[in-house]
Amino acid sequence: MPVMSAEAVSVLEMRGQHRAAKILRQVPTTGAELATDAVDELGLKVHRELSRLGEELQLGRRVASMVGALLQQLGLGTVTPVRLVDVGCGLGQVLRSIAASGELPPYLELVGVDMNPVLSAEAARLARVENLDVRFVTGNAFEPGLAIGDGPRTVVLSTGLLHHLAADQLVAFFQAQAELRVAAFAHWDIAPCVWSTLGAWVFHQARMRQPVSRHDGVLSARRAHSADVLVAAAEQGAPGYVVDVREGSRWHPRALDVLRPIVGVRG
Amino acid sequence: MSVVVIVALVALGLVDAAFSGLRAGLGRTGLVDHRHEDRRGLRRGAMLGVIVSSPAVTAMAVDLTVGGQRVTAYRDAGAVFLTIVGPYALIVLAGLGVYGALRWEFKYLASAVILGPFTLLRPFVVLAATVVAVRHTPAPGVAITAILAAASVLLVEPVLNRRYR
Ligand SMILES: C[S@@+](CC[C@H](N)C(=O)[O-])C[C@H]1O[C@@H](n2cnc3c(N)ncnc32)[C@H](O)[C@@H]1O
Repeated sequence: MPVMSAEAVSVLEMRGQHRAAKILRQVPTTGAELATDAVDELGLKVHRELSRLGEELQLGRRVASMVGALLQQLGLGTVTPVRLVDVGCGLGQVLRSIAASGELPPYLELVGVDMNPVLSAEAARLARVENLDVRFVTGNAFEPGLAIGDGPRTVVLSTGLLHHLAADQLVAFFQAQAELRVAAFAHWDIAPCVWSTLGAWVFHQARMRQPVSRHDGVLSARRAHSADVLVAAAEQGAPGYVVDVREGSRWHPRALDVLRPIVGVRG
Repeated sequence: MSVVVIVALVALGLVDAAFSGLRAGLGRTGLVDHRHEDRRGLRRGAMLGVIVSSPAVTAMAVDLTVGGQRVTAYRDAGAVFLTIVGPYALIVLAGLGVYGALRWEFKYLASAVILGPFTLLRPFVVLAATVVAVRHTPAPGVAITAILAAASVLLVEPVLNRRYR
């Protein structure tokens, strides 16, 4: 989709996002439009840095240990494959690192989905380069049959996705999973609090190079949804599921949880 | 004494340049196993560190031989520089130790509390140490060398980042 550069800049200026506007002005254009190649290349750079951040936060291991426990709890058996689907997988670092570590049992199929074809193609390429058994597909993860075929034998996960959804999109997000009758879901995202905002700032300033990601890092913490909002949306969208947010008590800083998951298990 | 100061400065400079190279190479490929890239980053940083510090080394050599400056002037300035940079380096090393010792769930805390913030502080610490050393020394040759050396320390990472672009 061609984006008019000047128009996008003025929208951001109007919203008072001056820093974002300044960053956008530096993206190359072809005539009046943002150059697609430049935008794609920037997207890849940002996601490579993001993957690296996820690695520093040990996202793969966090996901693996939670999913391992979920699999035991669900008792899905080991004969027919169970599928683990990463929604909005980006470059697929989480699934690729799980595949590389062999932390989860081999009857688990790993499938990453992203709507952005540039990201899913690069994820697939990286998996090939390292000879990892993960499949990546492009499209809307909740389109039946695309990534989720047999819902009751599927566990859905995401990392850093929920804060990209507006509060009023959350219900539909959980509803889509309930309609596919997935066995369980676990979505990791940043908790909105002073500690995580501060932590996000430090990590993005110290470890990310692209101005876009530095800018977005702190915005992400500010956009994040509270546990109450997430649980309410999940209970409304997926009423047949037992839902909870696995985070520490109020008495220790939430930053200790880094990204905490909202977990739902079909009852 | 002079030997100790010089060895400490050179060692610190090399380690810092190597880590600058490591940082410049992080998150460039998206691969799960990036040990190869990490080693390459360390090597490139150290090599570039040696290259960009040559003006400082040359200035010092000229000052000591042609200018007849005494080694003690360099030792004194170096010692002052180390009083500021030394504790910083020790804390970062301790941070790396903590990072290595923590369980995987908590490793990122070492980054959030020590390694990350100290990466951000690094240029300011180098600047502060240089300003203090320059103000402390009566010898212009020593001051020039200190400024050239500080510039070379701060140059490694941006130069490598530019090359990756
Ligand atoms: C910020 S990225 C998260 C990347 C990755 N999970 C990580 O932690 O590095 C969010 C991604 O989710 C994708 N996305 C959002 N909703 C989606 C959906 N319903 N199906 C597939 N991809 C989706 C977007 O294309 C975007 O690339």
